[in-house]
Amino acid sequence: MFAYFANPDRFMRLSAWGLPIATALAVVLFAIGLPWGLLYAPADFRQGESARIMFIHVPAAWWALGIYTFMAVASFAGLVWRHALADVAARAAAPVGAAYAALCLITGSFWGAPTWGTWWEWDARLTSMLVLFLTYVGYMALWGAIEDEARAARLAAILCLAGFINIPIVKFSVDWWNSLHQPASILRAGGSAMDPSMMQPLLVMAGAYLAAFAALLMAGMRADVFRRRASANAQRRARAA
Amino acid sequence: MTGALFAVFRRDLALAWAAGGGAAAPLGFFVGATMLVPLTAGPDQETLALIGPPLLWLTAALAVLMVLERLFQADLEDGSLDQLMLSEAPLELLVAAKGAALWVAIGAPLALAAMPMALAMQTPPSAAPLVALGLLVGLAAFIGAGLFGAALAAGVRRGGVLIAILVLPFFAPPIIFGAAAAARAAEEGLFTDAFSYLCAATLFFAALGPIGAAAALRQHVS
Amino acid sequence: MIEALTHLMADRHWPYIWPCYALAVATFVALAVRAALNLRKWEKAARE
Repeated sequence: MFAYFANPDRFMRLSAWGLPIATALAVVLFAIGLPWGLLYAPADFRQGESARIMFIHVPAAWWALGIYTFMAVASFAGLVWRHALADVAARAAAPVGAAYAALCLITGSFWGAPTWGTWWEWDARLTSMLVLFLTYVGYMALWGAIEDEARAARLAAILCLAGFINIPIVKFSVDWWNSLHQPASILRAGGSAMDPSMMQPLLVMAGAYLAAFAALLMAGMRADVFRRRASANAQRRARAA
Repeated sequence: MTGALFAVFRRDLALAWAAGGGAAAPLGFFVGATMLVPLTAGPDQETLALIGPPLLWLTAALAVLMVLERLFQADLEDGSLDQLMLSEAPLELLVAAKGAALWVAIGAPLALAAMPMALAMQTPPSAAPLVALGLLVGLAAFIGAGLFGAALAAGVRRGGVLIAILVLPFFAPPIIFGAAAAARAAEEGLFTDAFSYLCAATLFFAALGPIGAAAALRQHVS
Repeated sequence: MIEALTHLMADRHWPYIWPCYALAVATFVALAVRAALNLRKWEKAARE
């Protein structure tokens, strides 16, 4: 399946209609999910209305992890199999993942302030998520710092893979360490502990975040492919002149 | 092969000690930055005893960052990196030898200096050597992770800041465990849980750092 | 919908809730605008 997408022309043909579809899907899902979470989902028994922040915070956390995993797989494909579009994909995914991680951290602060009485706490979950955000920043900084693109791609891929060890740490931090952050209530052994009336809007928002990522990813990848074409054209013209 | 490794070790040791007074810069930073701690936190003895030893870990980590930028830059520029790759010793071990040289040339003096610094932070004299020993172990972890960051950013102009961004996430585990070990050294002695985790983290980074660094260095030379 | 909104705005947690929703919307708008501008720029450049 990976090999199917390695052909840039085929990717461009697919993303030509994939991008508008993903964008439309994201808009629709946000239009449904945002009011649902903000107004119509029930308030939490203990936390009250502040639990509505969950619908912004939790999908951001999920996909900050998911996008990094995507980048790690892409990095592996680029390094080991020399997949043509892999590093384009990883590079395009990074800003979205970083934005999701930052959104997770900031909305988490806003949620924690009324709930735990503190804007920040250096427990394992928050600290490892901050580390994930810094890893995203470092990844993007490395891409920008190395002049040769092919070399930058491979170095960034190595960095991405090295940082992947943080992903299980973020996920399991609330289980392994006594944490201020609440323990896993959805993806855990024994099934989810969340009421469907809250689970449904949460899943809609998760879908919205995913559709937005897909759209932003395709837009970024298309721009990169165009950029390479433009630079190749310019080189050809310079040589012909 | 061991001949090649020892040669690299001795050469880097000599370079570290010779270039600009060797350990003087990171040592000076370590002492100076640590001195700022009571200036910021106030000289209250109880406060210092509480935060002093953990902050030694911070200043030691930052001191390591100082030496990383030049680590592979010189080798890359003058071609000795290409020579190293031709050696029959695997690049991973050669990089580890560089790291070992750094640990001896800079890590050991930093750890030794940590003893009077710990005393200055109101650590009881019985605990000061324990803090220093913990730092000596942890510095190996910092150097391991630092090798990786320096290799990724080798050759980047003014790469020091970039290396810091890349490497600081990996500094987190040794610093968390090490600072906890230092904080508990006064009451619980050397073999605390935190110290065990610190040793585990150090083994992890000291082993994987050179491997990652070698992988990155190969990209710079290809 | 208006009653639900006014009820929510009276809640003591409202000052914590609305910045999160606003930030999320702002983030996605910013990402989208940036992506669209970038795509348009390079698509045009590649056509030349």
